[in-house]
Amino acid sequence: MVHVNSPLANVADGVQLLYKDFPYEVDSFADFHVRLDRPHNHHRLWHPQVLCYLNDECPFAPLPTDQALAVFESLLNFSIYATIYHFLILHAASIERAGYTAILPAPPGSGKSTLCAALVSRGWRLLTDELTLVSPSTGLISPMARPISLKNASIDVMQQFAPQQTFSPKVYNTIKGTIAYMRAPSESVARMHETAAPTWMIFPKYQAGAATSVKLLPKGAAFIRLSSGLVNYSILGAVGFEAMTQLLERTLCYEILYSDLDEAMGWFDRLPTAQ
Amino acid sequence: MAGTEVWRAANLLMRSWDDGVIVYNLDSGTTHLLNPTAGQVLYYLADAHASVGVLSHRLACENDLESDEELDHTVEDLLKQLDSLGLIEPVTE
Repeated sequence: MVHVNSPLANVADGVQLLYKDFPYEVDSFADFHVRLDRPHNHHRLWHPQVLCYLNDECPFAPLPTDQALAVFESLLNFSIYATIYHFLILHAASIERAGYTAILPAPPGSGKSTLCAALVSRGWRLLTDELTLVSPSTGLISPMARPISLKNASIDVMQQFAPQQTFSPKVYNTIKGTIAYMRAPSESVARMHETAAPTWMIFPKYQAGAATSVKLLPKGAAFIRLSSGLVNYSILGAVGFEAMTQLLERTLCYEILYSDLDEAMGWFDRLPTAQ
Repeated sequence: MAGTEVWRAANLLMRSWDDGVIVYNLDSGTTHLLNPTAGQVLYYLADAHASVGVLSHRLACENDLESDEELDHTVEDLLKQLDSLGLIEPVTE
Protein backbone atom coordinates (compact mmCIF):
# COMPACT_ATOMS: atom_id res chain seq x y z
CA MET A 1 0.00 0.00 0.00
CA VAL A 2 1.41 3.37 -1.06
CA HIS A 3 0.26 6.79 0.05
CA VAL A 4 0.74 9.32 -2.77
CA ASN A 5 0.68 13.06 -2.29
CA SER A 6 1.33 15.51 -5.14
CA PRO A 7 -0.08 18.76 -6.48
CA LEU A 8 1.37 17.99 -9.94
CA ALA A 9 -1.19 17.32 -12.67
CA ASN A 10 1.08 14.97 -14.67
CA VAL A 11 1.54 12.77 -11.58
CA ALA A 12 -2.21 12.67 -10.92
CA ASP A 13 -3.00 11.96 -14.58
CA GLY A 14 -0.29 9.30 -14.82
CA VAL A 15 -1.37 7.51 -11.64
CA GLN A 16 -5.00 7.61 -12.73
CA LEU A 17 -4.12 6.19 -16.14
CA LEU A 18 -1.58 3.54 -15.13
CA TYR A 19 -3.09 2.38 -11.84
CA LYS A 20 -6.74 2.51 -12.94
CA ASP A 21 -7.43 -1.08 -11.83
CA PHE A 22 -5.65 -0.86 -8.48
CA PRO A 23 -7.78 -0.60 -5.33
CA TYR A 24 -7.50 2.72 -3.56
CA GLU A 25 -8.47 3.98 -0.16
CA VAL A 26 -8.30 7.35 1.50
CA ASP A 27 -6.53 7.80 4.85
CA SER A 28 -5.70 4.10 5.27
CA PHE A 29 -2.46 2.50 6.49
CA ALA A 30 0.40 2.78 3.97
CA ASP A 31 3.74 0.93 3.67
CA PHE A 32 5.30 3.94 1.93
CA HIS A 33 4.48 7.62 1.92
CA VAL A 34 5.65 9.24 -1.29
CA ARG A 35 5.33 12.90 -2.12
CA LEU A 36 6.20 14.74 -5.30
CA ASP A 37 6.24 18.48 -4.90
CA ARG A 38 7.49 21.72 -6.40
CA PRO A 39 10.55 23.20 -4.69
CA HIS A 40 9.74 26.35 -2.77
CA ASN A 41 12.35 28.61 -4.34
CA HIS A 42 12.49 31.11 -7.19
CA HIS A 43 14.20 28.58 -9.50
CA ARG A 44 10.78 27.09 -10.31
CA LEU A 45 9.77 30.29 -12.09
CA TRP A 46 11.98 29.59 -15.12
CA HIS A 47 12.88 25.87 -14.73
CA PRO A 48 9.93 24.09 -13.07
CA GLN A 49 11.21 21.18 -11.05
CA VAL A 50 9.92 18.27 -9.04
CA LEU A 51 11.25 17.13 -5.68
CA CYS A 52 10.39 13.69 -4.43
CA TYR A 53 10.14 12.39 -0.89
CA LEU A 54 9.95 8.91 0.58
CA ASN A 55 8.65 9.06 4.16
CA ASP A 56 9.78 12.73 4.25
CA GLU A 57 13.35 11.91 3.12
CA CYS A 58 14.39 13.31 -0.26
CA PRO A 59 16.52 10.61 -1.97
CA PHE A 60 16.95 12.19 -5.43
CA ALA A 61 18.09 15.54 -6.78
CA PRO A 62 15.35 17.78 -8.28
CA LEU A 63 14.37 16.99 -11.86
CA PRO A 64 12.32 18.85 -14.49
CA THR A 65 8.60 18.78 -13.73
CA ASP A 66 7.74 17.17 -17.05
CA GLN A 67 9.66 14.06 -15.87
CA ALA A 68 7.50 13.75 -12.75
CA LEU A 69 5.81 10.50 -13.82
CA ALA A 70 9.18 8.82 -14.38
CA VAL A 71 10.36 10.22 -11.03
CA PHE A 72 7.27 8.75 -9.38
CA GLU A 73 7.93 5.28 -10.82
CA SER A 74 11.63 5.46 -9.87
CA LEU A 75 10.64 6.52 -6.37
CA LEU A 76 8.34 3.50 -6.04
CA ASN A 77 11.21 1.22 -7.13
CA PHE A 78 13.49 2.93 -4.64
CA SER A 79 10.85 2.54 -1.89
CA ILE A 80 10.85 -1.20 -2.49
CA TYR A 81 14.55 -1.91 -2.70
CA ALA A 82 15.53 0.50 0.06
CA THR A 83 13.03 -0.67 2.63
CA ILE A 84 11.98 -4.27 1.95
CA TYR A 85 14.26 -6.91 3.43
CA HIS A 86 11.97 -9.91 3.84
CA PHE A 87 12.16 -10.74 0.12
CA LEU A 88 15.06 -11.56 -2.15
CA ILE A 89 14.78 -8.79 -4.75
CA LEU A 90 15.95 -9.51 -8.30
CA HIS A 91 16.27 -6.90 -11.02
CA ALA A 92 14.04 -8.95 -13.29
CA ALA A 93 10.66 -9.19 -14.95
CA SER A 94 8.39 -12.15 -14.16
CA ILE A 95 5.46 -13.57 -16.10
CA GLU A 96 3.18 -16.55 -15.55
CA ARG A 97 0.90 -18.69 -17.67
CA ALA A 98 -1.04 -21.82 -16.73
CA GLY A 99 0.91 -22.14 -13.51
CA TYR A 100 4.35 -21.89 -15.17
CA THR A 101 6.44 -18.86 -14.32
CA ALA A 102 9.39 -17.35 -16.14
CA ILE A 103 11.79 -14.93 -14.48
CA LEU A 104 13.58 -12.65 -16.96
CA PRO A 105 16.65 -11.14 -15.32
CA ALA A 106 18.63 -8.80 -17.51
CA PRO A 107 20.61 -5.58 -17.48
CA PRO A 108 19.16 -2.42 -19.11
CA GLY A 109 19.21 -2.60 -22.91
CA SER A 110 18.65 -6.36 -23.04
CA GLY A 111 15.08 -6.04 -24.32
CA LYS A 112 13.65 -7.50 -21.11
CA SER A 113 10.76 -5.04 -20.77
CA THR A 114 9.90 -5.18 -24.49
CA LEU A 115 9.71 -8.96 -24.38
CA CYS A 116 7.76 -8.85 -21.13
CA ALA A 117 5.27 -6.32 -22.57
CA ALA A 118 4.85 -8.40 -25.74
CA LEU A 119 4.24 -11.60 -23.78
CA VAL A 120 1.68 -10.08 -21.42
CA SER A 121 -0.07 -8.64 -24.48
CA ARG A 122 -0.40 -12.24 -25.71
CA GLY A 123 -1.90 -13.86 -22.64
CA TRP A 124 0.89 -14.20 -20.08
CA ARG A 125 0.11 -12.77 -16.65
CA LEU A 126 2.32 -9.88 -15.60
CA LEU A 127 3.81 -10.45 -12.18
CA THR A 128 6.33 -7.64 -12.38
CA ASP A 129 8.43 -5.79 -14.93
CA GLU A 130 11.30 -4.37 -12.90
CA LEU A 131 11.72 -5.91 -9.44
CA THR A 132 10.93 -9.55 -8.72
CA LEU A 133 10.22 -10.30 -5.06
CA VAL A 134 10.99 -13.88 -4.02
CA SER A 135 10.09 -15.12 -0.55
CA PRO A 136 13.13 -16.82 1.04
CA SER A 137 10.85 -19.08 3.08
CA THR A 138 8.46 -20.30 0.35
CA GLY A 139 10.40 -19.55 -2.87
CA LEU A 140 7.24 -17.97 -4.30
CA ILE A 141 7.07 -14.70 -6.22
CA SER A 142 4.79 -11.95 -4.89
CA PRO A 143 3.38 -10.07 -7.91
CA MET A 144 3.10 -6.30 -8.11
CA ALA A 145 1.57 -5.82 -11.59
CA ARG A 146 2.91 -2.29 -11.84
CA PRO A 147 3.24 -0.62 -15.25
CA ILE A 148 5.91 -1.83 -17.68
CA SER A 149 8.64 0.71 -18.32
CA LEU A 150 9.50 0.98 -22.03
CA LYS A 151 12.44 2.94 -23.30
CA ASN A 152 13.35 4.69 -26.55
CA ALA A 153 12.67 2.63 -29.72
CA SER A 154 10.77 -0.06 -27.83
CA ILE A 155 7.95 2.42 -27.08
CA ASP A 156 6.92 2.69 -30.75
CA VAL A 157 7.57 -1.03 -31.27
CA MET A 158 5.12 -1.92 -28.51
CA GLN A 159 2.54 0.69 -29.48
CA GLN A 160 2.41 -0.89 -32.93
CA PHE A 161 2.63 -4.45 -31.63
CA ALA A 162 -0.09 -4.11 -28.99
CA PRO A 163 -2.28 -1.09 -29.85
CA GLN A 164 -5.01 -2.48 -27.57
CA GLN A 165 -2.84 -1.75 -24.53
CA THR A 166 -2.80 1.58 -22.69
CA PHE A 167 0.38 3.65 -22.75
CA SER A 168 1.33 6.76 -20.81
CA PRO A 169 2.55 9.90 -22.61
CA LYS A 170 6.27 9.80 -23.40
CA VAL A 171 8.64 11.30 -20.86
CA TYR A 172 11.61 12.83 -22.69
CA ASN A 173 15.25 13.49 -21.76
CA THR A 174 15.41 11.27 -18.70
CA ILE A 175 18.72 9.70 -17.67
CA LYS A 176 17.56 6.58 -19.58
CA GLY A 177 16.36 8.51 -22.65
CA THR A 178 12.67 8.60 -23.54
CA ILE A 179 10.39 6.54 -21.30
CA ALA A 180 6.74 5.54 -21.57
CA TYR A 181 4.76 3.11 -19.43
CA MET A 182 2.39 0.36 -20.50
CA ARG A 183 -0.44 -0.28 -18.08
CA ALA A 184 -0.61 -3.81 -16.66
CA PRO A 185 -3.52 -5.80 -18.07
CA SER A 186 -6.57 -5.68 -15.79
CA GLU A 187 -6.47 -9.44 -15.21
CA SER A 188 -2.87 -9.24 -13.95
CA VAL A 189 -3.86 -6.52 -11.49
CA ALA A 190 -6.93 -8.49 -10.37
CA ARG A 191 -4.67 -11.48 -9.60
CA MET A 192 -1.80 -9.56 -7.98
CA HIS A 193 -2.34 -11.31 -4.65
CA GLU A 194 -1.77 -14.76 -6.25
CA THR A 195 1.83 -15.78 -5.69
CA ALA A 196 3.65 -17.78 -8.37
CA ALA A 197 6.19 -20.61 -8.25
CA PRO A 198 9.23 -20.02 -10.53
CA THR A 199 9.69 -22.55 -13.35
CA TRP A 200 12.30 -20.97 -15.63
CA MET A 201 15.08 -18.42 -15.34
CA ILE A 202 15.48 -16.92 -18.81
CA PHE A 203 18.15 -14.35 -19.63
CA PRO A 204 16.99 -12.42 -22.72
CA LYS A 205 19.36 -10.51 -24.96
CA TYR A 206 18.14 -8.40 -27.83
CA GLN A 207 20.66 -7.96 -30.67
CA ALA A 208 19.61 -6.28 -33.92
CA GLY A 209 19.67 -8.73 -36.81
CA ALA A 210 20.45 -11.79 -34.67
CA ALA A 211 18.80 -15.10 -35.45
CA THR A 212 16.87 -16.49 -32.49
CA SER A 213 19.05 -18.87 -30.53
CA VAL A 214 18.59 -20.50 -27.16
CA LYS A 215 21.00 -22.31 -24.91
CA LEU A 216 20.63 -24.02 -21.58
CA LEU A 217 22.68 -22.32 -18.86
CA PRO A 218 24.36 -24.36 -16.13
CA LYS A 219 23.21 -23.30 -12.68
CA GLY A 220 26.57 -22.08 -11.40
CA ALA A 221 26.96 -19.73 -14.38
CA ALA A 222 23.32 -18.64 -13.99
CA PHE A 223 23.96 -17.85 -10.31
CA ILE A 224 26.88 -15.58 -11.16
CA ARG A 225 24.91 -13.79 -13.89
CA LEU A 226 21.93 -13.40 -11.63
CA SER A 227 23.97 -12.10 -8.72
CA SER A 228 24.93 -8.97 -10.70
CA GLY A 229 21.24 -8.01 -10.78
CA LEU A 230 20.45 -8.71 -7.16
CA VAL A 231 19.30 -5.75 -5.17
CA ASN A 232 19.57 -6.89 -1.55
CA TYR A 233 21.44 -10.22 -1.74
CA SER A 234 24.45 -9.05 0.25
CA ILE A 235 22.20 -7.50 2.91
CA LEU A 236 20.31 -10.77 3.35
CA GLY A 237 23.59 -12.72 3.78
CA ALA A 238 23.08 -16.45 4.38
CA VAL A 239 19.31 -16.14 3.87
CA GLY A 240 19.91 -14.55 0.45
CA PHE A 241 22.38 -17.26 -0.57
CA GLU A 242 20.00 -20.05 0.43
CA ALA A 243 17.10 -18.33 -1.35
CA MET A 244 19.21 -17.99 -4.50
CA THR A 245 20.38 -21.60 -4.51
CA GLN A 246 16.86 -22.89 -3.91
CA LEU A 247 15.51 -20.65 -6.65
CA LEU A 248 18.08 -22.01 -9.13
CA GLU A 249 17.48 -25.60 -8.10
CA ARG A 250 13.79 -25.19 -8.84
CA THR A 251 14.26 -23.57 -12.25
CA LEU A 252 15.63 -24.45 -15.67
CA CYS A 253 17.95 -21.69 -16.85
CA TYR A 254 18.19 -20.47 -20.45
CA GLU A 255 19.71 -17.66 -22.43
CA ILE A 256 17.76 -16.44 -25.46
CA LEU A 257 19.33 -14.22 -28.10
CA TYR A 258 16.74 -12.62 -30.37
CA SER A 259 15.89 -9.79 -32.73
CA ASP A 260 12.49 -10.98 -33.96
CA LEU A 261 9.88 -10.50 -31.25
CA ASP A 262 7.42 -12.98 -32.80
CA GLU A 263 10.07 -15.71 -32.97
CA ALA A 264 11.11 -15.12 -29.38
CA MET A 265 7.49 -15.21 -28.24
CA GLY A 266 6.95 -18.42 -30.19
CA TRP A 267 9.75 -20.02 -28.19
CA PHE A 268 8.17 -18.86 -24.93
CA ASP A 269 4.82 -20.24 -26.04
CA ARG A 270 6.36 -23.68 -26.59
CA LEU A 271 8.07 -23.74 -23.19
CA PRO A 272 5.42 -25.56 -21.11
CA THR A 273 5.15 -28.45 -23.57
CA ALA A 274 8.94 -28.76 -23.54
CA GLN A 275 8.87 -29.55 -19.82
CA MET B 1 58.41 -31.04 -1.05
CA ALA B 2 54.83 -30.09 -0.23
CA GLY B 3 54.28 -27.12 2.12
CA THR B 4 53.58 -28.04 5.73
CA GLU B 5 51.35 -25.08 6.44
CA VAL B 6 47.86 -26.12 7.56
CA TRP B 7 44.81 -24.42 6.09
CA ARG B 8 41.15 -24.09 6.92
CA ALA B 9 38.13 -22.81 5.04
CA ALA B 10 36.85 -19.33 5.85
CA ASN B 11 33.27 -18.81 7.03
CA LEU B 12 31.57 -20.10 3.87
CA LEU B 13 28.37 -21.46 2.41
CA MET B 14 28.74 -23.75 -0.61
CA ARG B 15 26.53 -25.43 -3.18
CA SER B 16 27.77 -27.85 -5.78
CA TRP B 17 26.37 -27.96 -9.32
CA ASP B 18 27.49 -29.61 -12.58
CA ASP B 19 29.57 -26.62 -13.69
CA GLY B 20 31.26 -26.02 -10.35
CA VAL B 21 30.78 -24.93 -6.79
CA ILE B 22 29.16 -21.65 -5.79
CA VAL B 23 30.79 -20.25 -2.67
CA TYR B 24 29.44 -17.44 -0.52
CA ASN B 25 31.80 -15.84 1.98
CA LEU B 26 29.70 -14.93 5.00
CA ASP B 27 32.29 -12.47 6.27
CA SER B 28 32.96 -10.51 3.08
CA GLY B 29 29.61 -11.04 1.30
CA THR B 30 31.39 -12.08 -1.91
CA THR B 31 30.27 -14.91 -4.17
CA HIS B 32 32.54 -17.06 -6.37
CA LEU B 33 32.05 -19.85 -8.87
CA LEU B 34 34.90 -22.37 -8.55
CA ASN B 35 35.67 -25.19 -10.95
CA PRO B 36 34.72 -28.62 -9.57
CA THR B 37 38.28 -29.52 -8.45
CA ALA B 38 38.84 -26.26 -6.59
CA GLY B 39 35.42 -26.73 -5.03
CA GLN B 40 36.37 -30.26 -3.97
CA VAL B 41 39.48 -28.95 -2.19
CA LEU B 42 37.43 -26.28 -0.46
CA TYR B 43 34.96 -28.94 0.71
CA TYR B 44 37.92 -30.90 2.16
CA LEU B 45 39.03 -27.82 4.07
CA ALA B 46 35.50 -27.21 5.30
CA ASP B 47 35.55 -30.80 6.63
CA ALA B 48 38.90 -30.51 8.40
CA HIS B 49 42.06 -28.42 8.55
CA ALA B 50 44.69 -29.83 6.18
CA SER B 51 48.12 -29.29 4.66
CA VAL B 52 49.02 -29.42 0.95
CA GLY B 53 50.22 -33.01 1.35
CA VAL B 54 47.00 -34.21 2.97
CA LEU B 55 44.84 -32.42 0.40
CA SER B 56 46.92 -33.71 -2.49
CA HIS B 57 46.74 -37.29 -1.19
CA ARG B 58 42.96 -37.13 -0.71
CA LEU B 59 42.46 -35.58 -4.14
CA ALA B 60 44.58 -38.32 -5.74
CA CYS B 61 42.71 -41.12 -3.96
CA GLU B 62 39.24 -39.81 -4.80
CA ASN B 63 39.97 -38.97 -8.42
CA ASP B 64 42.25 -41.87 -9.35
CA LEU B 65 45.26 -39.58 -9.85
CA GLU B 66 48.98 -40.08 -9.31
CA SER B 67 49.95 -38.58 -5.95
CA ASP B 68 53.21 -36.91 -6.90
CA GLU B 69 55.15 -33.67 -6.61
CA GLU B 70 53.38 -32.18 -9.64
CA LEU B 71 50.00 -32.62 -7.98
CA ASP B 72 51.41 -31.09 -4.78
CA HIS B 73 52.49 -28.01 -6.76
CA THR B 74 49.08 -27.76 -8.42
CA VAL B 75 47.36 -27.92 -5.03
CA GLU B 76 49.82 -25.39 -3.61
CA ASP B 77 49.02 -22.95 -6.45
CA LEU B 78 45.32 -23.54 -5.92
CA LEU B 79 45.62 -22.77 -2.21
CA LYS B 80 47.42 -19.51 -3.04
CA GLN B 81 44.49 -18.52 -5.26
CA LEU B 82 41.89 -19.53 -2.69
CA ASP B 83 43.83 -17.57 -0.07
CA SER B 84 43.97 -14.48 -2.29
CA LEU B 85 40.17 -14.71 -2.70
CA GLY B 86 39.79 -14.86 1.08
CA LEU B 87 38.22 -18.32 0.94
CA ILE B 88 40.82 -20.07 3.11
CA GLU B 89 43.18 -19.00 5.86
CA PRO B 90 46.23 -20.51 7.52
CA VAL B 91 45.75 -22.19 10.88
CA THR B 92 48.04 -20.37 13.26
CA GLU B 93 47.46 -21.98 16.65
